Amino acid sequence: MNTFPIELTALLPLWIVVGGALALLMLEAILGEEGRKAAPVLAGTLLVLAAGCVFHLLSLKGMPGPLFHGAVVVDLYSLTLEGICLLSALLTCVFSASYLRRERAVTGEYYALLLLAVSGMFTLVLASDFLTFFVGLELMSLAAYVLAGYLRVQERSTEAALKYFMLGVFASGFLLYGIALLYGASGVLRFPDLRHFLEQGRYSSPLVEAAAALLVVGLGFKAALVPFHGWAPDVYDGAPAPVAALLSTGVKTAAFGAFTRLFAEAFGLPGNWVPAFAVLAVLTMTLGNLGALGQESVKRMLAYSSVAHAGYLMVGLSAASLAPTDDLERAVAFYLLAYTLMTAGAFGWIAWAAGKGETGISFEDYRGLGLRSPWMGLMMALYMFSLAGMTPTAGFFGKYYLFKLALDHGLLGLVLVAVLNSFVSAYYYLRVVVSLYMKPAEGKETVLPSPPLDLRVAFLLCGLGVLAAGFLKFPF
Amino acid sequence: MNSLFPITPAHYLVLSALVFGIGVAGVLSRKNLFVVLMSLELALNAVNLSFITFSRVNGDVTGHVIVLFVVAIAAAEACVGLAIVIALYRLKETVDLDLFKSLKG
Amino acid sequence: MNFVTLQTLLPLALAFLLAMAVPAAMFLLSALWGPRRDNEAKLSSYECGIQSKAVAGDARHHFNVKFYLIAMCFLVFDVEVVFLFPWAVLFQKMAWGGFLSMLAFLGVLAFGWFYLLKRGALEWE
Repeated sequence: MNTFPIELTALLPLWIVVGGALALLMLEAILGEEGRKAAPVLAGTLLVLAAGCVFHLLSLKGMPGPLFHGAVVVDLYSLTLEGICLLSALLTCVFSASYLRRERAVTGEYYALLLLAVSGMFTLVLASDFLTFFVGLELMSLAAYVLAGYLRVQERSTEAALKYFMLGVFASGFLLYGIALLYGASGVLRFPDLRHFLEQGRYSSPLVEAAAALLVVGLGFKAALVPFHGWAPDVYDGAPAPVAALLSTGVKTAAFGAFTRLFAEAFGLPGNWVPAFAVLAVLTMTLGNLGALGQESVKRMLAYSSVAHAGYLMVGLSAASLAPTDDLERAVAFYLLAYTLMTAGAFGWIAWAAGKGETGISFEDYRGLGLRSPWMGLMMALYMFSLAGMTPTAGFFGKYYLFKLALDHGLLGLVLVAVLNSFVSAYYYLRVVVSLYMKPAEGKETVLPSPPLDLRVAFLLCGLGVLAAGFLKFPF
Repeated sequence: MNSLFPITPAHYLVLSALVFGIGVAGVLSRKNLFVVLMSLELALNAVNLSFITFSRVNGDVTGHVIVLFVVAIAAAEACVGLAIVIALYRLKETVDLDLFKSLKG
Repeated sequence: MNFVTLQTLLPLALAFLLAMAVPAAMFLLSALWGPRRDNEAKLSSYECGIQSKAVAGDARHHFNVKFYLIAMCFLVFDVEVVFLFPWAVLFQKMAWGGFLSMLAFLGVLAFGWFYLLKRGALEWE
C-alpha cells in the first residue's frame, strides 16, 4: 500500500477527468439552469488542467512505468496519446459550445459524456493488460454511442447512434472472444507476460492463431478498416458535426494507439502477419478514397477520408513485426497528432459553416465562400492541404514518417500504393478549395457569421498546429 | 474417471463457440431490433463461458473476475442500446431494422 | 480431466424433476378440484402495470416510457452489485486498501443514484 502516492500522481489526468464528469452531472442536477450555463466553461477548464498535468508528466526525467501490478503503464507513448486525446476533446468542447447553442440543445450531460469518453480513452491508452484494455474500450465506446445520438429528435443522429452501437458491440464480442482464446492458450493477461509466453515459440498454436484473427477483426471494426468499415461513413455523417470530430479523432486515436501497443508489445508480431496487414492497408486506403471521390456532401467526404487515413496508419502497422517498437509508436503517435489537428479542424469548420440543422454541408453550399469570408476560407484550405499531404503541413510529415518506416523495412510495393492513393485523395480535398475560391456563388450570396472568439482560437490552433507540427520536437 | 460420457473442457468450449455463432448469426440475419440486441448479449455471454472454462483449466481465478466485468459492461451496453432503440421508436414507430435508412450513399 | 461427469449430475437431474413435478401437480389438482368462478377481467392475460383489454380496451397501446426507464436503472444497479461478491470473498486479505477501493466504487454508484433522484427519473408522475 505504500505505492499509493505515485499511483495517484501519475494518473492525475485520469482522476481529474473522471471527477470532472461526475461534478458536471451533479452541477446541472443541483443548480439547474445556472449549472447548465457553466458546464462548457467548467469542462474546458478541467480539460486544460488535465492537459497541464500531462505536459508536466511528459517533462519528468523518469517515467513511472507499470502501475497497479502492471494493469496500466505510464510511459512516453501513453502520455503522448493522452495529450492527443485531450487536444481532440478540447477542440470538440469549443466546437460544441456554439453548435449546441445554435441547435438549442445545451445540457450539462453532454459535457459529462464528453469527459467520460475521455476517461475511457485514457484507460485505453494506458492499458497494459487485456482487462484494462477492454474496460477502457467499452467506457470510451459507451459514452461515444450516446454522444452520436445526442440530438435525439433528429432521425439522422439517432440512426447513427444505432449503427454505431450495433457494430461497436458486435466488434467488442469478437475482440473479447479473441482475448478469451489468448487467455486460454497462455493463462496470462498482461501484455509483457503474453510476449514472454509467445517468445517461447508458441506462435503456431491454433488457439493463438484464432485469437489473433479475432483481434484483427475487432481492430478492423473499431478502427473502420475495409472490409469492416461499413458503419463509419454513416456514423460520422449522421452524428452532430462536433461529435463527428471527436469520434474521428479522439476515439480513433485512442483505439488505434492502443491496438498498436497491443500488437507491438504483446504480440511482437510474427512475420507472417505482414501480408494480412498489408492487404488490409491497401483495401482500406483504396476503397476509402474511392468512396470519398463520389461524395457531394463535404461532411460525408470527410467521413470516407477518415477511413482512408486509417489505411495510411495500417501501412505503418504492417511494419510492426520488422521495425523497433519505439520507431513504430513514434510514427503512429505523430500521425495521429497531425490527423487530429486537421480532421478535427475540418469537422469543426463544418459545424460552424453548415448553419442550423446542418443544412449547408455540400460542395455547392461553399461556392465562393473563401472570397466572402477570407479568414474562415483560409483555415479550411489549410486543413484540406494538410489532409491531402502537401508540404510543409503536418499531414505531409505524418505520411512521410509512416511511409519511411515501411520503406526502411522493405515494404516498397505497399508504399507505392499508398503514395498513389495520396495523389488520388488530393483530387477531392482540393475540390473543397476550388469550391471555396474559384467558383462564383449561384443565387444567394451567403456570408458566414463571424465565429465567436473561442471558436476563432480553436480554428487558429488547428491551423497553426497543422503548419508547425512538423517542425516541433516530439516528446520521444 | 470411468464414466460413460466424461464431459471435458472441450465440450464447454464447443458449446461456447456454438452459442457465439448463434449470436453472430442472429445479429447478421434478424430484422427486429430487440432480437438483434438479445443476440449481441448472447454472443458476449458465450465468451463468458469460454473464460470460465479456461479459468478452470488454467487453475487461475482471473478468468472469473473478467466474467464479472464483462457481465457489468454488458448490462451497461444493454441499457444504452435499449435507450437508443426507444429514442428511434419514438421517431419512427417501428423496430424493423430495414426501415432505418436515412443514411445512405 | 476432473470435470463433472454425468454421474455427478444425477442429484441435479433429480432436483430438476422434482421442480417440474411440484408445480405440475399444483396445476393438475387445482384444475380437477378447484372452484371455477370466471369473469372476463379474470380470464385476461396478466401484464404488470398494463390494464387488460377486457378492462381498458386494446392492450397494444404504447408502454409508458417510464417502464423502460425504471427497468434500465434497475438493470444497471442490480448488476453492478456483482462486484461485491469477489470483494467479500477476499475481504479478510485486503485490509484497508480493499475497503477504501470498494468505498470509492460504492460512492460512484451512490452518486449515480443521487443523480437519478435529482433529475426526477424515479418519480412516477
